[in-house]
Amino acid sequence: MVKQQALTVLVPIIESKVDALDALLTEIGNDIEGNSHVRFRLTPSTHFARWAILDNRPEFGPWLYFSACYDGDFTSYMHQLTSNIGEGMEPIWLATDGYRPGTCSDAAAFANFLQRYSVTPSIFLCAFPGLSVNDILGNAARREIVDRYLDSDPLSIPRIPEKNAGAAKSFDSVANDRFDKIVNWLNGIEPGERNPNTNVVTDARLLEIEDKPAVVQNQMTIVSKVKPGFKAWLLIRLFMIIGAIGDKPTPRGQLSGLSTIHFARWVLVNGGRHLLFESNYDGSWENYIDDFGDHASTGMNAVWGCCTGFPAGGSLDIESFKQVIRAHQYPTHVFYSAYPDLTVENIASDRDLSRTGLIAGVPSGRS
Amino acid sequence: MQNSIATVVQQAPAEPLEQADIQGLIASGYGHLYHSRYFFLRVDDAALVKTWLASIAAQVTVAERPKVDGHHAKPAIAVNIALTWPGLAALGLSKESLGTFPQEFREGMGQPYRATRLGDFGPSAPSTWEIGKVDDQGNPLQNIHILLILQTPTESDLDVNSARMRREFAAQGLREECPAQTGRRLPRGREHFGFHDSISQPEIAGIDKPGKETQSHLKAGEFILGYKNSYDLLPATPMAPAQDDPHGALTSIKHAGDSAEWRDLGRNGSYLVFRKLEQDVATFRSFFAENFPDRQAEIAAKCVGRWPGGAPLTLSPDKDDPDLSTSNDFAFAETDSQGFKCPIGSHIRRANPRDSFRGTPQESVESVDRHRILRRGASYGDALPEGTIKDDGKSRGLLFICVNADIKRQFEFVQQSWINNPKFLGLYNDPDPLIGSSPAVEELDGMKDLPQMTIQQDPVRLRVHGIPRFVTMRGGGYFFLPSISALYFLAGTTKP
Repeated sequence: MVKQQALTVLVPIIESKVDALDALLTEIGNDIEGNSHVRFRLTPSTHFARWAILDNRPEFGPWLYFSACYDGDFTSYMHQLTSNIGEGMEPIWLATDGYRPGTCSDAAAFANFLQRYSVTPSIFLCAFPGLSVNDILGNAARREIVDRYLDSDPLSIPRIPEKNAGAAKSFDSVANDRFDKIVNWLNGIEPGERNPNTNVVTDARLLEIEDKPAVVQNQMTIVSKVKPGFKAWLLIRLFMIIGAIGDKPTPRGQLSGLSTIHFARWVLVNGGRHLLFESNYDGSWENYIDDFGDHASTGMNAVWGCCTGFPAGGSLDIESFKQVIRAHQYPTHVFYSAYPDLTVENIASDRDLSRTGLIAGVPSGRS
Repeated sequence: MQNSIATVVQQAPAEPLEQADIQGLIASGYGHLYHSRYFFLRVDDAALVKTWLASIAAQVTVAERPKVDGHHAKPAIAVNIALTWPGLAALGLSKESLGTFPQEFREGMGQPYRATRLGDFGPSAPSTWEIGKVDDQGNPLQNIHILLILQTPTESDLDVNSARMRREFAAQGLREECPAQTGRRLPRGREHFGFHDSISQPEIAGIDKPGKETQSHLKAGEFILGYKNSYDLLPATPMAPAQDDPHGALTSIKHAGDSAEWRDLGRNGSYLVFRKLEQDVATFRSFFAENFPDRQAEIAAKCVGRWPGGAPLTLSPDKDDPDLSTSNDFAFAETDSQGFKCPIGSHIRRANPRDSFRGTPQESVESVDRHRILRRGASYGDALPEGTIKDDGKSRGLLFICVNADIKRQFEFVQQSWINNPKFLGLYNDPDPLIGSSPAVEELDGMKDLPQMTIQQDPVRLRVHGIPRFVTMRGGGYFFLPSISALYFLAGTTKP
């Protein structure tokens, strides 16, 4: 069983090169499968990858944020990146500080470069541990073959017994009312009556790259500022340890009580002064955040509650919660998914189908 | 045992509502008023229009009904009025106040990025609309400021009152910017595809209506500003600086961290969404007749989730049942979780997933209740004669109207995340078979597969392939439905 790993890299951008880099990344992002620079499709271990420019000067940045969710070990992945898309990445990395020309065509040198700027997520969530890109695409291809066959010749096959979905193990499932109250007390959150009168305002660039027609997955990159002081320093680390231990996916790939997260990560960056959240999720932004409120509000209150600007009423003051997320969200310039038309629920169903043995012998048609 | 929605939902303790200040359309669809007309007006002379607005404010039908012989009297005719954001600006509302309205209302329904989320592309694109036309860059090509809604019991009442209204428009600085729309109720409560419509409709806690016990009763703040919503919070409300309200038409409002003096412009008001949805009845009938000659009625019912008479498939999976024609007392989780009776992707299961959405039935109902709308529309156009599968070239469809306190969280959410979502509840490529919009049909973005409808059944599921577009969007907009006090405020005066 192959392991899924997270790569999280933040490299300072040379200030004079921010605009040109923005244009280049935007060009790549606008045609993720067909652009002439970097095609992640050529790196078969990549589940998801993204580039974003995080620039909130003078507070932080400009940084080039590079992240990937990939199969296997770091060294092999470096070989895959450098030999398959190394040349195309060169102009991107050239815009960063401390990059030596040619590095991204040399696996060992590139590994060194990335490691210098990489950060380890405090929490890395993966819906289907052990399921490789090839497994996911193979199961989907086999399901399509069987589907087409059944359309023309419906057999008398027994209904596949429903799998017990399993209880979601998440921050909110380990949390009970008392824990919820403790979190709120620690973070100074007072749910209940208030009239914040918040109207969510969303940046046009965020709207432009989200919810495109026929796109079933979305991306989110959020950088929030951790509250100053020792209390927040301690609490955020404590809550992240609880989250990392408690948040385990169900057999159907449910994470944090949500059926829409493929991969997500919480990362303390900038010497712990900021908290980065990345998610690769299904469906609309509104749906995703409403799900947070409906199913994961304690976890949100715990972790993001340690950051400045978090609503005094917590994540169930849903409009204020949405506003604070929008205010700290950065456009993702390049967003790659190896299986852009599959949701977490689709992947789970395809895997269930494979496990029945019904389609075990069906060739996927993929090489 | 049937798991009744009414028993699942905790009955919200009703807040007293100021029903004399609330427009009647929020509280009632006026089932007894069979005819309706919708005027789309532009303000040419703000001073004259303000005078007119004050006179209309006195005529607007309110939620409160006078008691006659111990019964609440139904209004003989109904007049309701709503405004767009440019309309509020045209009447001279201050910039400060205009800035307190939500982004989606300010930008309007036809903004390019919004249109893609709502499924308004291809033949439904805003650049093709008859009402509220917008160019591809999002610039309005028509300037609708005011929507005036007239509902009457008879056609002649409608014409008499329309003529009276039109004389006032001409004299009071108003122009009809788009063709007025005429709606009516089709016989037996049907819509043009032939199905009994408007059966499931949430009710507002605090407004008692006999015979509506099986509907979910939602907190008033889901539909009326100024009251607690399903999050137990007051919805965001538009405001006006105190100095803009010298007559004291509005109540004052305070909120945390703001020392400025504000008046509550939204209180007792709401938001209204108007969409003219043309229905291609000939294509609808011929699609099922040609592809499923032996199961035509059944497959169409599977797509809807109810039989033409209204009986829900979950309660009566094999045949229509006149005794269940208005039944709303059902849920999915206990008896139909897998969709073998009412398919997961059917229209009614998307528009209201009841207790089978996510988590436990109770959690599901709580989530779903945060995304409900009040439907207040009417049909337009003549019915295509029964049995005809050839198009007669006439336009017919639905003048869809819904009322909600938060357009983004309610109408837009349902449209985007439930109706048009091809991945709804684990499906693969199944937008709403009836009214859903798929870019694949318009061949946008090079999508590989045409949308489908999956019908769960034994021994294996049936996939309905190649569903064409049955419904085309012909235009509309987002409107603010002010309280009576707010109407007087906008008219520059106060309630006499």
